[in-house]
Amino acid sequence: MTGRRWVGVTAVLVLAGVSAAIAFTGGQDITVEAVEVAAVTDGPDRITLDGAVYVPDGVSVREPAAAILLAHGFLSDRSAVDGFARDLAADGYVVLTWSARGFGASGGSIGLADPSREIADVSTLIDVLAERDEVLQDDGGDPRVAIVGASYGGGTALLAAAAEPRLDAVVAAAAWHDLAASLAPNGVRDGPSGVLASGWTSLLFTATGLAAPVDGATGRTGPRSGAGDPCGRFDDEICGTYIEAAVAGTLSPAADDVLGRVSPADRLGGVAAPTLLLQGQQDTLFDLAASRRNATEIAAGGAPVRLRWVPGGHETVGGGGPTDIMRAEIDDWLARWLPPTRPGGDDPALAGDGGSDPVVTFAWTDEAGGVVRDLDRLPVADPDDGGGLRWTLSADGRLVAPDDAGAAPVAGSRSILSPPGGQPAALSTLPGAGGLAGLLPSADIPGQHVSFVSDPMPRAVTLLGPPRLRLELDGDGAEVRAFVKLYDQAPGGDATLIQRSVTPVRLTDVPATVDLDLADLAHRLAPDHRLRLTIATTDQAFANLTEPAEVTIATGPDAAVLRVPTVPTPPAGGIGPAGAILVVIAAIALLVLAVVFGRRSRPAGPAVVQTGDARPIVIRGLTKRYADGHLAVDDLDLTVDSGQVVGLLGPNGAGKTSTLRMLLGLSRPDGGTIEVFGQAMRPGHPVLHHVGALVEGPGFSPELSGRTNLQLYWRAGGRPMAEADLPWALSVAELGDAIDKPVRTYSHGMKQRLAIAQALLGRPALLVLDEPTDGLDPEQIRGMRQLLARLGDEGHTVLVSSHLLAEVEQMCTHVVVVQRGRLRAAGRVAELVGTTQTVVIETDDRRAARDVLRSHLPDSDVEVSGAGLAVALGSHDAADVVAWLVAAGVRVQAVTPRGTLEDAFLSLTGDQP
Amino acid sequence: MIVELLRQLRRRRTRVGLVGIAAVPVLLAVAFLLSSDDGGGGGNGGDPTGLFSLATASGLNFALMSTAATAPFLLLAVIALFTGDTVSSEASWGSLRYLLTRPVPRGALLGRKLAVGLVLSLVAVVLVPVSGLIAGTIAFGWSDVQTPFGVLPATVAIGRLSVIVAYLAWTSLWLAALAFALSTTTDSAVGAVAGSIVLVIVVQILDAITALGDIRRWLPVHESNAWIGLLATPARYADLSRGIWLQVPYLVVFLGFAWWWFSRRDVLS
Repeated sequence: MTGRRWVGVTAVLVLAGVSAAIAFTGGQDITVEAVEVAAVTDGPDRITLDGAVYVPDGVSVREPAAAILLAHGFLSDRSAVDGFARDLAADGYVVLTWSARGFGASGGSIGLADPSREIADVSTLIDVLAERDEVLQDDGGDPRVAIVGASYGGGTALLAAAAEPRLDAVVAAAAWHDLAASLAPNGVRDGPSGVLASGWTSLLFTATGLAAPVDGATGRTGPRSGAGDPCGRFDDEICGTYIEAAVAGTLSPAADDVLGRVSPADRLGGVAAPTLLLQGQQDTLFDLAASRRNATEIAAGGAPVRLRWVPGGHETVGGGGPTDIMRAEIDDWLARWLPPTRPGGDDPALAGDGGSDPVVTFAWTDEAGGVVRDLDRLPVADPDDGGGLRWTLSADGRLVAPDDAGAAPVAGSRSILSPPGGQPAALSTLPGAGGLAGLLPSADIPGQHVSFVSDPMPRAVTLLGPPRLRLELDGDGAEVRAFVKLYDQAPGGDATLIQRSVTPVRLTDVPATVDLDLADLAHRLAPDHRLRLTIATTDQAFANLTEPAEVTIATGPDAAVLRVPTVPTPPAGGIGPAGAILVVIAAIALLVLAVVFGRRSRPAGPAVVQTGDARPIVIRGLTKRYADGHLAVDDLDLTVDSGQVVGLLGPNGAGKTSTLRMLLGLSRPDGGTIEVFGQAMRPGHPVLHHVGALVEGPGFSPELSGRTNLQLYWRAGGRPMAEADLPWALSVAELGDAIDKPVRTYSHGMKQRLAIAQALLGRPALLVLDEPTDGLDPEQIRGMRQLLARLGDEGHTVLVSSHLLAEVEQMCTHVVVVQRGRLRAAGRVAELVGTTQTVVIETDDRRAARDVLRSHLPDSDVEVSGAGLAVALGSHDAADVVAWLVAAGVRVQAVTPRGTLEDAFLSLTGDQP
Repeated sequence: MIVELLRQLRRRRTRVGLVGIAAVPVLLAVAFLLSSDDGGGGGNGGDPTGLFSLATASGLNFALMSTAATAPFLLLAVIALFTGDTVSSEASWGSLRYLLTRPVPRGALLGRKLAVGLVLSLVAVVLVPVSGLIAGTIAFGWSDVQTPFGVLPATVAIGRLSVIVAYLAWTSLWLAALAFALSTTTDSAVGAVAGSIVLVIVVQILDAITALGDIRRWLPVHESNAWIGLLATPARYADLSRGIWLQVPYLVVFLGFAWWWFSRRDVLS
């Protein structure tokens, strides 16, 4: 192997290795150690938390790393974050996961991130990390640690951040702000407790209650307090609150207090740790407003905070593993504020480059535009720059903008009914359905809703932040419940419920003029799309009134005004990531095309080697041993001179075909050299341009015509068709009209002739023919003979292998006899035959004739051959024999030379069977 | 390259393969039209991507569904056909030895054969969404795309569809390389094609066995569905990039073997 090939092979192997490394990252070894942590309790019961510590390879006492507390979501346990924990450990962090109280194999009951229980557990776990040598320590008892969690884990992370100064960074995804406001939202500012989000609450509570609880002490599953207990593993107080709320369809003040205890709201002002807040743009449980309020509180306290709204609903963003977008955000945040290892500075608390960055950043995904956008402020209801749209609700179902040139808004009122039993109800979202929720059409029930539609947007508008709606509401019952929704209505009339979000309204004192805070938006309205405001009396995701009721909505300039904050929409432009990939693909395609057509436009195909006056074939010491050990060719020497027509003879298995294969570069010799026109032969050598071959029978694509086969064969050599002299070759083949029919319709003889024509394409200087007369009729064999003779006369060189000795004798000028892979004889036909010429004499009296011959030729065998006698003439000629016989009175009918080459062949090979 | 392309284009299996794969979306469209009263609901078994239930939403939706329906097996089978029989069929006809007696290095011959096989495979991969788009637009009209993640504007969706096709084409390369490598080792075209299809099925089954754990991450089909991420907004590219890199080691091994083997092989057939 040459040096250049080594370089190539090495480069390929390196490429493969690097690719494999990129493709299979995460192969780093991680040690997972199960730990049991005794939780602090205020009672006599002992509660054990089931945890696991993930330690990456290479982290040790000498090289400690920062730690991450990874909290799981609701309705699961620490196993749900195992994959994410391994990912974080692979990034170099020590990761501690645990099952929260009441979940998995941990003991205790579910207290919903109660500061004195679940949050106290976080402090206990930080104590555990403070004891571990492989964790970086900021101070005695103060490890370098962040807390990361989504949904239940996200709320836990925020509440822990409020309570625990030792935390160095916080990541909270899909967390709540005010749990009471999330479970029973009310759009009315400072209004009463809202409408129970029965879809979500029943999912969260009953699913947990129905799940077989685990006995914390033993780890065995079993009912906590007997079958039929609706509370399952919930804390009794929380459970009682839920049951009461489920029955009432709203929350009591006492319930508000209970849920307020487990809410980050009004607790985050003291958070010092840099906090990343991630929220799903389609999250219908903990909506965008929850994260905005959390971010606002933390920012007011001065801690660095990043708010990021990402695509997905609660199931996506709050589920077991982070999405790719979330993962990227989390990696960035941790890398900046909690590098896995000490960067070398003296003050580990100020690690990273966060000092000069803005304290508050905000970004969201513009899903319609497919881009990520950011702002240097948090979204607000009334942007300083006045960005916002304002509409008046008109009694004729329009949203009228102030600058609307059309009809002025109509003052009046619209009434809608709430059906008895609360059914049927409008369909907006399907809690817990994950991606499936996106498939549901949103549906409003006739008579139960009223809609107000804007004019088409003249240009794209980006709605961002909390919309506000002023309404005058009246009702005929003791209580009014309504559901406010914003739709994106396409030109065709198809409307999409924006972010699938619904703002419930609950009033216990009507009539009233109320200011509503609608669910936060992060939505782009395309040009020609309309904004539609719909107010409905029912919604399947919420607890509807069961008493029939009528709700009246006043319209007109002062009574009903919708304001939506906006930010400028970037002009369409930029190609986006998809475009970038397309550009790359297009570039590659162009490159490929350039290479392909660039090659085509080169003047000619492969360089043509001139034959010169070198000998057509010189074979020296050729040896070939097949894989099965059979020695097919054994130290064979063979030379063919220009203009010779050489017959290659030998018994079956003598090595004829093996020799021809090696001569043509079809197989590799094990030893010896082959030169064709002075060129050392190798597969595909340019000198093959001067060689035409028929080896081991014809081989054509059966579906193509004979002509097409020949054309494609010739052009595969890269030479123009004009050099092939196709008409001449076809005239030799004598196929007539059949030349344009598929080869599969040919007889064996036709294929054979086509193969000969193929070998003749381009009038090659050397023709190698293996059994060329196979399948030909006698007349065609004669034509073949004449053809070869003519080729020889014209200076072509022909090597013919055949087992038909008479044929070779008639066609060839020279003969080579091989046997067992070795050369037995070589020379002119006449020379070989001349040594042993035999004639057959036909006579009436064989007995007399034999006596005469024996007397004149005592050294020759005289044997019976058919109707006559065969005798080797030795130094005499046939005329002598006839003269002797006639002189002796023996009548001679005929004298014919016998298969003389056959004799020569047999005498050369026969003694070595 | 052009000669080889002509050689393959004139073959019936090439035409049948291309026409067949292009006909699949049309047949699907007819089937969807005939059974347009489907409940829409029901479980989503057999519809892991969620695209089937959305197929009739628009022509683009239908193109996506056609792609999702053919990508796991049918497309792979056609690709295996185009790359798996290109050398072995010549060997079985006996025409391989004549191609090799042309003054062209074996590596160059292989390169042409592979390039043409890949071009035909790419055409097959592109034909499915194009045919699906045409059939779907005729049957179900033109509008924005409903995806399991929401709505994509048609202009965005066309770009995404192009990237999906490019990704599918690229992540089929391992199979093309495998079939091609098999093709250089056998004189039986059926053996090379069927062998690689069987291997695809085996690999897909292995990938479905979660008990294999991290081993599955090494399988070339492990990220084959990652293109679903392109339907999200914004598109998710992380799994895509892994899927793209994942092909390279397999390509290097399979094609490296094909070249090494073929360049030293004794052509006896």
